[in-house]
Amino acid sequence: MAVFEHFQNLYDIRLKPRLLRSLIRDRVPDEKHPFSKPSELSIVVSAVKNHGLLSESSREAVDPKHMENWKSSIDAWIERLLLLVSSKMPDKCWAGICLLGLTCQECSSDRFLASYSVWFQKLLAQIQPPSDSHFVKVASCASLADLFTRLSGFSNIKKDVTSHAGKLIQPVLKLLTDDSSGAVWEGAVDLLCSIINFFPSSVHRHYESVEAAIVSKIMSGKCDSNISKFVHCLALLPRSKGDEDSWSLMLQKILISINVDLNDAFQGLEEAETKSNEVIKHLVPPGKEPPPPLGGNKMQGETSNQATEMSEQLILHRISMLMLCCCRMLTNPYPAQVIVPVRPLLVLVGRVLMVDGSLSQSLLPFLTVMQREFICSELPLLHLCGLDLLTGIIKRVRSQLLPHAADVVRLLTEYFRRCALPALRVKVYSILRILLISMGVGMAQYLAQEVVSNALVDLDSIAHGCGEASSTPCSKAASEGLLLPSYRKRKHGTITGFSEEQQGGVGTEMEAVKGKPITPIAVQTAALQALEALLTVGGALRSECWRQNVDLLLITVATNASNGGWANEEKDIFLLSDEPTSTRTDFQLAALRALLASLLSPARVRPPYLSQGLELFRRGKQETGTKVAEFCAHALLALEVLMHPRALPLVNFPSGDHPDFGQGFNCKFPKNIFSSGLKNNSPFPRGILGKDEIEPESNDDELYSSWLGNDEETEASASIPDKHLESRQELSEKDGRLSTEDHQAEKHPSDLPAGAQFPKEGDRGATDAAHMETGGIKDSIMAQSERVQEIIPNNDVRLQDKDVMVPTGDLTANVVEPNKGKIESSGSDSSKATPALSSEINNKVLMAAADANALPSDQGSLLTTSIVIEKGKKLVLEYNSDASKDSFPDIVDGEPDSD
Amino acid sequence: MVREVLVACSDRSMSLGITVWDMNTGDRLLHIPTCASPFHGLLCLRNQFLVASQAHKHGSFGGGAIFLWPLNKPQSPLRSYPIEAIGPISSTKDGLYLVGGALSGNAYVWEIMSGRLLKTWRAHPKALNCLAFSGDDSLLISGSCDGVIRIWSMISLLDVTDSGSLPSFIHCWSEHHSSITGFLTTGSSSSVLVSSSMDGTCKVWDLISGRLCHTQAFPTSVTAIALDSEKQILFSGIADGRIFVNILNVGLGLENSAVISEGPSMVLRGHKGSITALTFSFSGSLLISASEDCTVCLWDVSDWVITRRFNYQKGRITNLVVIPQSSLVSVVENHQRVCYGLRVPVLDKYPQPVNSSSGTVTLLPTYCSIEDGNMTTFRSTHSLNQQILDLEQGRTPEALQMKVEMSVENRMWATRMAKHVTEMNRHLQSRLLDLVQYRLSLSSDPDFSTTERRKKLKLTVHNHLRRNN
Repeated sequence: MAVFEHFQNLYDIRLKPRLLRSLIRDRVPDEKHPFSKPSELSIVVSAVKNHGLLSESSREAVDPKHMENWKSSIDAWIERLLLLVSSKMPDKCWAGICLLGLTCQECSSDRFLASYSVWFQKLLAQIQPPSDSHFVKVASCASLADLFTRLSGFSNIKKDVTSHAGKLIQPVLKLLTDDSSGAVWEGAVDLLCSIINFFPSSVHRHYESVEAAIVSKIMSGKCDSNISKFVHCLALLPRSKGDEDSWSLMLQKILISINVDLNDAFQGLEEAETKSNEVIKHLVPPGKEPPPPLGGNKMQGETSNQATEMSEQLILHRISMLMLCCCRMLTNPYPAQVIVPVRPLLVLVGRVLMVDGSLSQSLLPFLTVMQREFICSELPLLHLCGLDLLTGIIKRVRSQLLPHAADVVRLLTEYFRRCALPALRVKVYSILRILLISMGVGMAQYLAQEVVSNALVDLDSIAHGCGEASSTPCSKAASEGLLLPSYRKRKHGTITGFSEEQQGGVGTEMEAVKGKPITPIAVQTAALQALEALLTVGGALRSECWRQNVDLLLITVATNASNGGWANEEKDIFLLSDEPTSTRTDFQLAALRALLASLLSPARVRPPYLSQGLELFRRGKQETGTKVAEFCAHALLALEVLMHPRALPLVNFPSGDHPDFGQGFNCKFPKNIFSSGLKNNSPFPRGILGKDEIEPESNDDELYSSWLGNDEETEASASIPDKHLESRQELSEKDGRLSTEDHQAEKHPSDLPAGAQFPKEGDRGATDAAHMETGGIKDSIMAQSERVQEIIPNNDVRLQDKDVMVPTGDLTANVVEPNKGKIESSGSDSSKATPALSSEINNKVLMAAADANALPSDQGSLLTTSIVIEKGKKLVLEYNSDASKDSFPDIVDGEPDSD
Repeated sequence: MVREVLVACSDRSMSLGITVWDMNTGDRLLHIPTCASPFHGLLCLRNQFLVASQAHKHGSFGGGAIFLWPLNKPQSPLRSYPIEAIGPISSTKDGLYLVGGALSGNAYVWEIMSGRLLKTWRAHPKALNCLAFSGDDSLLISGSCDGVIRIWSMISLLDVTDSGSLPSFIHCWSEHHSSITGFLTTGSSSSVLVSSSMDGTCKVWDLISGRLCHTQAFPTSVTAIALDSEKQILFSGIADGRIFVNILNVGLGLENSAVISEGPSMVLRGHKGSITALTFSFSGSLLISASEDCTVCLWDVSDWVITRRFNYQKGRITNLVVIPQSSLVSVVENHQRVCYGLRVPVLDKYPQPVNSSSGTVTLLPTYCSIEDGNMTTFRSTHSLNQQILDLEQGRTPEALQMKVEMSVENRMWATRMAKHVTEMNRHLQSRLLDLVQYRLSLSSDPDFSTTERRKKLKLTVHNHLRRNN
């Protein structure tokens, strides 16, 4: 009927029913014809998804007739699907179920709400006994999960849906217990997780049986490949009750269970009794009933029977899975505020990490060599789980870890000293990083030594030149290590395996050359990241001991890392597709990030390798389209502020045309905290130490120093008053005032460097302030500046107009205040007023003066004027301590456009 | 812009309580009775609770008191009674730890969420005046009435395993000659500490290296200090009621440590008595000052005029806190209640033995479940693709089972069809026989031509076949 209907383009709504009908006709199987090509289904799925064939909605208003047409085509689609689902042929039934799942995702809300219960019943029937195809069951579970996922978006029918979900639990549990197919288990667990996630209350009634079913699966060790899903489900389970107690109880049970298993596993390797008792003591308060075992009482008998014949492998596997479960419980969201038994968790982690396979001295060795060998081979895995759990604890407990932080630090430092396997070292570094960032300088105090010494060892090879040669083989060695057959035999959801330090042909070759083991690139990356964290939080902490070494190390590493060119990210992706392993790009990025941290982190001296660092970043920035380039651009931005600190006004005034001073005080504060911090860090004038000095600055410094030593300059500046007189008509009073100050400054150039020795005179300053409120400044200037008498009248004018002008202390002499009765000057007598002037102004005027010498006098005066006006408008309260009289004229550079 | 309210309290008498003003309108929004806090004795925790130590002794033993008011239900305070009177209090920025200092020089650290007294130790020989945390909450700064400042590492203070030993401080500075009146930290990870003292100086320290970077001298005692919201401007209130405004000098002093500078750049005058408290509103760019003259002034940062003045006739104000107005709203939306509905127990009076089981649990901070909402990932498409792959490659037992079942079903279908065809065939045969019979019987009839008969037969068979199909 619709065959001859026209449609305009791809987006025309009339196209959709046509497409849908042809899909139904050509691709969707039907009862009569055999269904030969299952891959047809994926074409159907992508067509439906791409075109939104089931959405029944359009952006613009459409003809209801077209809509009707579309609707009827979807009706046909659903009719066909329902037919397929009830088909006896398993493949058609499967196709129908899959497409029904797609429909649950894609169809319009109205249609979904109207028919979800019918679909639910259809799908439910497929996971119940009469059907026995595993394939169909898996598909039904997935489609049901989608149905509930979609339903979670409709809050108004929650009650209804919850009851539906409740009906589903028993059949799903039956799937878990009866069927022997791993895929069905996986599907069922996924479905269960979805239900717990979205409709937790429906699981409430079946809590115990769900727990028992999942725990028995984990304990039996039968489902290797997808066990992490079971673990995830177990960790989610307390959400179905959603209260604090069930969460705590679950964690308690798991911890006790791990503890029991550890007793079995570590027999003879540790003093099991004392350690285990310690955990139990913290978990179960004395006098309280211990909780029922994990999975209920029924499980207890089962497992204890099994325990005798259980292999060590199973026990260790179980321990790591349960630890993973703890970790998941800690990191998954939970609706209620819960109590985390931090102490038992930490004791447990410590117990796992402290076993290194050596025999306990006090105990007789009743382990066979075989047993010991096996345990040693599995220990790294266990340690990795332990470290993961520790990460989980730190992440979840956050700053409440504080009472236990010292414990964690002790544990980690001790473990780090012994830990030699790369994968474990990477983990430890990452934990150190998290700790440093979260706990700040207090943590850095504890960890600085550890991080620095370990990182120095791990980065040694790179730092000493041969790094470039070794890094590529290293990465190969690492990735080869990851594929070791002994570790790949068993599948673990979360564990990629371990690489020994001396694995792989290339690695051993290199080792032979160098005579010492090669550090894999992943460890080096982790070490760099840890150093970065340390520099970020505590760069100045006891910096004299380690900072110099680290700065040198980082610049060397970064230079070496970039020597062979920047890594090609795409190549990395092709080389190491599945394994989440550290690549050369990561390493280079980590090196650059650590370098930036080392340049920015506060220290006692100016960053010594700034110019090399800048060069590296500039080069890296040219690698268009890579992460390295992105980061280098960021680094250059950050360093720009370091190189050229700028003083910007705090407020962007909308009324910038007000030339008077009454605009507000706040604009007088430049944002130069940063710059002053830098000045602080540098014991030398920038001009001396700086390697990449910028031009104007050095000019100024030259001028300044020549002025300091040269009387001729004073003469030159003495000519300024004349110019000011000439241009007096054009000048506003404030300009005159500023020029007055300038002269003051020029008059006592020799005082400036000596400014630091001003005596403390608190009270005198206060009394002076009292009489200075009206004309103090003028008086002081008069008293001091006979030589520039001609300025004084001008100064007077200003003083009459403005109430008072306050050159204050040795702070910020160029501040002038519209005194509104609240502002007064204080603490400045004449002797202080003079050196108080900021050297910045001196420089400005000097520059102007120098220019004036070269130019005809008119221009010279104009120049001076303009500078003065600029100063006046800007109202910079420049804070220059006497000790750093080496001035930063560039602070002013950005100013004119700020108005 | 977040609207903020001003919380103020006095130390004169318990009946004065806490007053909350709207900073925009000047209205008195709330009055919480029964509170008299000493200097630095009032703070706001997580924008949800007001905590105030009480200046007046409580109980027969003269113990102290710390009151805690949930801001959405200020009528029901939680009253804790430590063993001695607590003066200054301070909390970490996440509101998890509260530290209080006593006149005796003892300091107390509580974990707010559990109420446990984690640590008590003798921090100073003289009375504690002031407490603060460093920007990253990892260092505790304590100042006493003799001018001594000590820096403590929180990690080593709270180390549960060796709580027996006497904690040692990282730095101890005695450069101030008189009582400490205030601490400021810049809140970032940088290690700047500003301290003010009755000796008329503000000193800027480097917390990490322990260096004195800068000294700012004032005419008389500095009684209160504050930083603006960008941590660049230092406001110092002094004993004669003036407020000095300086750029915060983070030490231009070099190796020769303390640079002393005097004289402020600007002075705000508006109070007649000693400044007792200073604070800065974050959003409104207002400086708020309180003084012994029983007034509170709001200064506009842009032109330094007093935009509002509150009179608090009954006594001097010792504490000023600015909090967002939203935290006063008593009706919390549903999901927020889940996220922020903290329960806070009474603070313990005595420390508990480390190894007791209740000492091992930690209350978690709030946990937000909103993130689940957008976790709608559909699964069936992925599962479908997986299954198609499995089917085509036949690599899993399930796919093999499926294939077997499919072929079984196919075979059954084929069998059924075959049966059907056979059936049809038989039927046809019988019809054919019938026809033959019929023809034979007709052949006796001479009128029928052979061709006609043949045509009719064909037609019949054809119809028959079609019907069967």
